[in-house]
Amino acid sequence: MATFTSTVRTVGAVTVIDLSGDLDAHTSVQLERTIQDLIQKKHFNLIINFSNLNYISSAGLGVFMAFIDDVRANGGDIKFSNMPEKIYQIFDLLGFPMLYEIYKDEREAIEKFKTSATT
Amino acid sequence: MANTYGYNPYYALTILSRTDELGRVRAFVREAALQFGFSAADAEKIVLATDEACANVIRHGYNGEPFHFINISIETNGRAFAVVIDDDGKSYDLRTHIIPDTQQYFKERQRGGLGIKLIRLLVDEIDYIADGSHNRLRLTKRLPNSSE
Repeated sequence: MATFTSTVRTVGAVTVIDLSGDLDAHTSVQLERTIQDLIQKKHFNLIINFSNLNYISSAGLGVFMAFIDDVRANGGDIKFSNMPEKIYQIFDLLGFPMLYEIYKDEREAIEKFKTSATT
Repeated sequence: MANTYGYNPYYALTILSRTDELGRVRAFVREAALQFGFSAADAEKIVLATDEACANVIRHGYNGEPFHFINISIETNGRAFAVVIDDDGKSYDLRTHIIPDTQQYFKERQRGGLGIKLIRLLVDEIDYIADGSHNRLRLTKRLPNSSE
């Protein structure tokens, strides 16, 4: 049975969530709780690192839809990084790159937060 | 047992209507699709479409009640590969679901409907039959090297 984990790291003023395994209708509940918890603790600069994620379904995508307005309303954002090609293809198929910033590398995403904080 | 579509069932899996069964569904469909010669990328398309359809049955068809059955079978007629999903939940014809375009979707920030959109984008054909309390959804993808 495929497993899913989401691990939270802090890099300066940014919070990185590392995903691994399969993100589906079952495991998305876990990610929802993680992000909910971060928002409650006023962490609004979020990066989702996908490097170890094998699979995503619409339930996983729905989690990001659920929180994006909330974090942006608080001056933050949810940015994505390190997406394997097969995960990016699903995002692309649905037009998600229109709504979310997707970076090849986590450092680029962190830099972007720094830049937007100073402007 | 050939049916009206001229397909021969290949093999089948029965799961309970619980989301923690979805991993098993994916492994089952992935293995079958790869055996039939689909590339890993195309196999994943069929896997995702099936996962979305089963998740809909669990959540909406059976209202999240975990004790019902869903049967998933693979059928092929040599030209096409089909995943057939049978359930006895509330019927819903996803072919009639109106999907807003991407701009509109994001403007309204809807959460649902993504799964149905994915299914429509990922497979070549969707058939749906509701017969009394029984529903049968067939997701078909042309086999590689098939011109039909």
